[in-house]
Amino acid sequence: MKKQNTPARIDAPLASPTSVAEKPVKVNLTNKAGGFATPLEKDIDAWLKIGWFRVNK
Amino acid sequence: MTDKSNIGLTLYGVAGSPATNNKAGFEALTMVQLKGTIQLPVFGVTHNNIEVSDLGTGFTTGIKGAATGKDVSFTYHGDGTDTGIATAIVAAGSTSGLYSLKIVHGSGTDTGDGPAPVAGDVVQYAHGYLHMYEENPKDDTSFQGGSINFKQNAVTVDDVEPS
Repeated sequence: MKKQNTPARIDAPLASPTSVAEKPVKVNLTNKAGGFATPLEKDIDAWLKIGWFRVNK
Repeated sequence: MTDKSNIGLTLYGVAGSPATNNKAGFEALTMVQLKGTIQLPVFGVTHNNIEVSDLGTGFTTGIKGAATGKDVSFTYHGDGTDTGIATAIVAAGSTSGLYSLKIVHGSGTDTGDGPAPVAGDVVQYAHGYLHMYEENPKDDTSFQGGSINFKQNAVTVDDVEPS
């Protein structure tokens, strides 16, 4: 039986779409006592509820 | 276990409370050092004891009740104009007095106010309110300084300095 030629196997990973990890967004907050905080944007609601507010730029 | 002194402990603080009582919450706060501290607050909570008596056995058993934070003082020397100390004095005299504290077992460079915190150093966080600001006695045997009380309002958070 004649041996079939098989294409060389390529183990290189398939090209994937380039993805850039998103940098966590921080928000500048202050309070009436003059304190400052920079929590993550995703946590902002909890901070605003206890008296912190955004710093106007 | 290695015994070591408390020399080198430093205190940081900011007026206000974190949204969450954990490392992420405290590290989001912009804390400044309270320089010239002599005695730092010892954080902790105690629990109420609920007594349950039994006429048959004649024994009153205690069961663990609600937790409450300790009310402890910290002391400093100086005229109170250090930025950190000044914020604490103002908070102690304010209506809410809300304040967050961080004790650092620093191992970094000491530029004159204790070793700076570096990643991995043991830290303790707690928040509550400040009150009872009092200057040292004004006599010929006392130095300039004062004391402020810290009433803890949540359990202590023990962690390490982030990188």
